[in-house]
Amino acid sequence: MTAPKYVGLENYQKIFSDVRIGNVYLTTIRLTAMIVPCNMTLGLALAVLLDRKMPTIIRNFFKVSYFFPFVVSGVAVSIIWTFLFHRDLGPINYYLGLIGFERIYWLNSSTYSPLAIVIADVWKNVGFYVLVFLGGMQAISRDFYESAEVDGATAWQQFRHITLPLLSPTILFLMVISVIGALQIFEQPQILTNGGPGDATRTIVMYIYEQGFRFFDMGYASAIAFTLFIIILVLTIIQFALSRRWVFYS
Amino acid sequence: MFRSKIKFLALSLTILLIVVGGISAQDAPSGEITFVFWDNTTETRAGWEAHVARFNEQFPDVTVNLIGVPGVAWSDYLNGTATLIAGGETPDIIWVATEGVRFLVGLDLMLPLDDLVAENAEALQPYFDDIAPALIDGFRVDDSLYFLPYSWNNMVIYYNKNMFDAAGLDYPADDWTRDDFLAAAQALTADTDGDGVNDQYGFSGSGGWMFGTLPWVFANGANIVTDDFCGPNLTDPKVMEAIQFIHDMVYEYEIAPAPGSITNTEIQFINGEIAMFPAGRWAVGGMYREGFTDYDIVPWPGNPDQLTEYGVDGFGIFRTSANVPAAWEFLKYMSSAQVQEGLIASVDTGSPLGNIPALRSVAEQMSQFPPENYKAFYNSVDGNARPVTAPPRFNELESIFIRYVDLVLANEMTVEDAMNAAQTELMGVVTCD
Repeated sequence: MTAPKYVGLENYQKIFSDVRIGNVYLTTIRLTAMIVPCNMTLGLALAVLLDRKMPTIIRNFFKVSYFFPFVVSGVAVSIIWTFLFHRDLGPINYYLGLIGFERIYWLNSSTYSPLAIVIADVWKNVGFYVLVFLGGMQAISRDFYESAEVDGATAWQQFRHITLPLLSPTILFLMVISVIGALQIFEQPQILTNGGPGDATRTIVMYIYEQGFRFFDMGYASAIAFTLFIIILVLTIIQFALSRRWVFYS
Repeated sequence: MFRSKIKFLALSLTILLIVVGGISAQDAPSGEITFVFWDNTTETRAGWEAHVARFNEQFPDVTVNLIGVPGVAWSDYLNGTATLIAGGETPDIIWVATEGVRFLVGLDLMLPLDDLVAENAEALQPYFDDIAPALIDGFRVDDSLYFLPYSWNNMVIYYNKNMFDAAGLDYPADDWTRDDFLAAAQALTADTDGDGVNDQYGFSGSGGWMFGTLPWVFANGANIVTDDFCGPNLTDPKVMEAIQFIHDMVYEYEIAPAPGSITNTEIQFINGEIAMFPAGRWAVGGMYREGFTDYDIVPWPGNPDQLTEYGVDGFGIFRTSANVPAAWEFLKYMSSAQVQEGLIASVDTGSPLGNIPALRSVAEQMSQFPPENYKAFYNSVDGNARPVTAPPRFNELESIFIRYVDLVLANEMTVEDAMNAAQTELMGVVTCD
C-alpha cells in the first residue's frame, strides 16, 4: 500500500469507465427485487398463521423455529447451504430428482445461482420478519375484529381492512430495513458462489470488498461505497415520501 | 498499541538486565521476532510451532511469535498479509511462495538478502550447491535475492493403478503426450451403474485454480502473460487451445466431471471414482494417512512441450524488521537440512508431509514412501518446469483469469469471448508502465 494522494474526483470518474460495475449493480438490484418481496410476503403469511388461536407453547415453538436461523452466523449457515445445493450429493437435487427433475447446477450457473442465494437468504432472515409482523399484529386491539365480526366481515375482509392498514407502520419499517439489508448482501453470495460464475452473483458490497481488500484500491472502493450510500439514501427517502399515501399511524 | 507497549517493556527490561548484570554483549541473537505464515490447514500452526521449539533449543533467547493468516487461495494470504502490515503490524519474517514474491517485493516490503548471504558465504555454500538453480532464480528479483528456498511443488499427474489394471491399460510413460492422456482418460471413464450418467471419470481437477490450470497452457508452449511479464497473452491461440481442452474434457469428451459436482478429489481418487488428478507432492500425505498405496505419478503430458509448472516457497525478512540478526538466524535455521527433513516425514506422526524439499539430497529421501516414480517430482526442475506465472499483481491476475475460466467451465461463455474479455480487463493489471 502506498501513501494517500489527492486525486480529486478521479475515483468517481473511474466508475463510469468500469466495465464490471454496471453488471454488479444490476445483479444486486435483481437480488434485492427477489429477496424483499419474498421476505415480506412469506414473513407476513407465516405471521398470520402464527397469529391464530393456538396453545402458547406451540406458538413459541414455531416462533423459535423461525427465528433460530436469524441468530446463527450467516457464514456458518451458508456453508451448510453449499452442501444442500451440491449438484450430486445435495439433498435438494436428490428430492428434485425423485419427482423427475434433472440435476440442477445450483451454484455454478448464472440462471440458478441467484435463486440459490435468494433461498438461502430468505430462509435465514424470514424469522425476523415473522417476529416483527407478529408483534405488530398482536398490538392491534381485538375490539376491531370483534366489531367487524358483528358486522359480518369475512376473515379476508378483516385482514384486508383491519390488519393490513393497522400493520402499515410495521410494513414500512420492514420494507426500509429489508431494502437496505438486501442491497448490502454479502455473506451468502461470498460463501455460496464467491460471486460466480463470472460476475453472475457478485453484489456491490462484494465488489467493494474486492476492490478494497483484494486489489488494495481503497480510494476506488470508498468511491463505490459512497454511491451505494447515495442509492440507499435516495431509496429510503422515496419510501418515506410514498409512505404518506398508505401508512396509517393510529 | 498494547503489543508495542509489551515490546517496549520487554526491550527496556532486557536492556536493564544487561546493564545491571554487567553482562557483555553476546553474539547469540536475542529478543522477539514475528513470523507470518499461511494458516491454511488445521495442522499448519502446529507444524511451525514444532520447528520454533527446536529452533529455541539452539537459540533460547529468541522468542518467535507466530501470526497465521487464513485464506483459501494464495491471493487471500497475500492480501491478508498486506492488510496486516497496513494495519500497523511489523512482522519480521514471512513464509511465501513464487505467487507472492513479486507482489511483496513490488510493494517494497522485503529486505534483499545479498549482504547477509555474502557475510555467511562459506557456511551457506553447501546449501546453495544442493539446490537446483531454478529454485533460487525464482526468488531473485532484479538480481537481488529476497528469499531462501525451503520447499517447492511441481504439477504432476497422479494415477490410480487399480483402475488402469481394471481397464487393461498400460501405466503412462514419463514422455507421454496429451493424446495418450486423453485416450487413457476416455478408457477410464464409465457409467458403472447404467443410469446414463458417468460415475467414474478419467480425470478431475483442472480449472477453478491457477496452479491446476496453467500446466495445460505451459505444455502448449505458451504462457498467459508475455515473456517480459509486461502484458497479458490470453488471446494467443495456444493459450485458448489449452483452455478449450479443459472445457472439452467436461463437455466434449466427458472425461471430467463438471465443476460443482466433486467434493473431494483425493477421496474419490482413492475410492476409484477418479482415475487421474493433477497435484504437487502435497497430495502424498493424504494417501499415506488413508493407507492407499496403489498409485503412482507421471510427469505432465506434453503437447508437444514436456513442460509443467512449479512454485517454490521459502522465507524472507521484512525491510521493517527491528531484529534482523535474530530473524536471519531463524531464516538460516528454517532453511537447514534438519528442518527440510521434516518435509519427508513428519517428526511427530511419521507421515509424509507437504512439499518437495528444496535440498536435492534431502529430496532423495522421498524414496522411503510411495509413489514409486518419486523422481518425477525433483527431476522436472532441471529444464521441464516453468514457474507459476506471478507478476507483481498476481492476486488480481488470478482473480480475473479464474473468473473467466469459471465462466467457460460453466459452459456459459465461449473460450474466445472469455479470453478476449479477460485480456481487456488484464491490460491495466499486467503492465510495466
